[in-house]
Amino acid sequence: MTDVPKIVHSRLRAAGQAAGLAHPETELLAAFAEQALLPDERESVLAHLALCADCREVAALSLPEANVAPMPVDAEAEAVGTKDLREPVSQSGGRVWFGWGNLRWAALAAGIAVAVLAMRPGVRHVEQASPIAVAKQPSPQVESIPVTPQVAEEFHVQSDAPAGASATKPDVEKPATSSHRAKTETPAAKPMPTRKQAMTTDNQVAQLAKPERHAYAVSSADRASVASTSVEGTTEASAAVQSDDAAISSDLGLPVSTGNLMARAQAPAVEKAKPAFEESTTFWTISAGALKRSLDGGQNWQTVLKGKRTWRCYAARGQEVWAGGAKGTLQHSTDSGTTWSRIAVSGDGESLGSDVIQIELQAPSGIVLETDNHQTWSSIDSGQSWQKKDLAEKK
Amino acid sequence: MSLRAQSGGAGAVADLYARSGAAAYGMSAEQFALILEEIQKKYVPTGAPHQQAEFCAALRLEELALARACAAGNDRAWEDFISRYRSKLHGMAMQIAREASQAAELADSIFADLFGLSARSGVRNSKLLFYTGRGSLEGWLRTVMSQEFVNRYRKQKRTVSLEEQTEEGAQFVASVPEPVRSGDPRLEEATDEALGQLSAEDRFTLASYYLDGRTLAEIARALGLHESSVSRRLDRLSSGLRKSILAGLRERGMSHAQAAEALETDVRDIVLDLRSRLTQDSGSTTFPSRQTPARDGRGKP
Repeated sequence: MTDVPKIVHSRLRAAGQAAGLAHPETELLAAFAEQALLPDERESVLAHLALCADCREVAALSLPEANVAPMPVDAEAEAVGTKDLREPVSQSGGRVWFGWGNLRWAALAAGIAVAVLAMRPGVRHVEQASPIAVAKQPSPQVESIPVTPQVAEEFHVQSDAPAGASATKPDVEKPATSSHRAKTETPAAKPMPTRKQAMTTDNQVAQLAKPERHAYAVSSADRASVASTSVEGTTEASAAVQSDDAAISSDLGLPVSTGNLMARAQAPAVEKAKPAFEESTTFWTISAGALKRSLDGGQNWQTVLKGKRTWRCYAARGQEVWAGGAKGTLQHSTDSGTTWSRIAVSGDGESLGSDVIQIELQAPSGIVLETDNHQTWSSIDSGQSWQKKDLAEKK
Repeated sequence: MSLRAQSGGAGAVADLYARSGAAAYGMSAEQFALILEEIQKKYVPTGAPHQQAEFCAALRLEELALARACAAGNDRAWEDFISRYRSKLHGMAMQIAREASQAAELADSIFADLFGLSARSGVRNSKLLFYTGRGSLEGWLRTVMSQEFVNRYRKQKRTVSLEEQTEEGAQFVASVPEPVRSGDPRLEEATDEALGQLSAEDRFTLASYYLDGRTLAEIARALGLHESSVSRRLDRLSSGLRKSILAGLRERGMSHAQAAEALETDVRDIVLDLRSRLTQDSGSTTFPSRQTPARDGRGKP
């Protein structure tokens, strides 16, 4: 590649320094990175980017799925002085991207992806890696990340379901007397997960970034500090919002729920590994007030419960699923959500009318409900009869 | 003209509202319509009604509803936001900062901004209020984080410790060198003129490649092009600029030979400032004029 004269370098730089630059909004830079700007907007943003090194840096870092190494501002002086500008520079230290070697491996990878596709009919992937793909596709389904055996083990998710049964937390051994509610642990004791890549059905590479764990102090009372899985997260968070937030809220001077959410958000995040292609497991999540189910390990999701009243929590044990929602709504399914029966919760002359925010299944047939007004309703006969306890009574 | 009228009536707005899922976060259709109207006025204030309707329909409605519900403090919205984006934000921070402690600090800072902890007069001031659904929420979050990272890096570069100053010899202040004399001003003029004739995308490509040291692949991703297209473009620009500058120099009175020589041997390439160099090399007098008498071992002259 022919170099440009040095005068071009200096005039390009000088143009940026001389101009009184009004930077484009974050929204426009983000849309630029995703090729989502209108033509005249794109022209305007490019005109600014041609002058502003800072915004070029931001634009480069904003590229989706970027493996862009951030360059310091003054690196341009070093780059001009030390780099052979005649050669196309690549991230791999000078190797040409479109050599036959790379194309051969790309063809092999494509062939493997096609073979995998052929083995899994009807699979649709929801991840998007390419900015062009993002711009061209309709608004993606915002899906939840399912619990995998690795995550189940990590978070001590316990189930007494048989090994072959479809379960929300598959292939995890469980003591007979333990509960079926997902539990969380201080993350600092766990080893750091590794980076993974997965080929998608559209030949897009989804990269799961797994950040290092940090030495955060996690209080035992802050149950929400670890629950990052959307399978457990909703139920955990719903309960955690209401519980033990006085210390946090007083520190931050915020409403109870905000303080706890902040603590949850700042806790170390854990990426869940995706299930192997050959596994077939049922996963559950609640999104936008609807209960959703995936029968293929999180690849596709169906809404199974949605109505006037929003759904707030669920618990599953094998093919048995319980879902709780607003105004005392409780539904039960024994066939992984294909059919449902409404359960009336009442006892001691009183009916449940507040929102069910947490469900805990206890072996062999126990169920414990917690509500948003600090009531606990329990049953030992799979919901045929119930007993109520207020928070004061429990204390 | 209201959004309802522009969008073909209440039915279209209701459809957008239904698609957004805003109802789950306690947001009414009227509130959502106001949000859409605000965004539409900002980006497409003048346009045919069908264009404005298309603009609204192309927005990321569900993510917009989620973001605005979070900005309004809806707990359920925050639950969904955290479950969907917390891991991603930490991953982004790691991608951007490339170092664990910096990434953690960056992610925490962004969360604070998104939550709106910097409340003014008791009103939460969440950054999510500025998301307008043009691109994905994830992309927007990545840009917010990138901006924060770039700003932090700038601050760190400006903050130099006293130890660093001492090591770099700032305490031994040399005489201020004279600015490097520019070459023929016609060269700058001709170059500016040639650059001004290029499109914004071409100038962005040149700046990214020659000033920032971006790779062809990185530039291609930013522009939505193939890497080979960027390579060909740079070749074309390089040869085209050379011709344009030469033409500009000839228009300014230089002969072809003079123009070619001026372009190839710009004095900026030859950093030769003898005066400042000589001044630095002999900053202190080797033999002071004031004589200090020698002393014997007992300290007496």
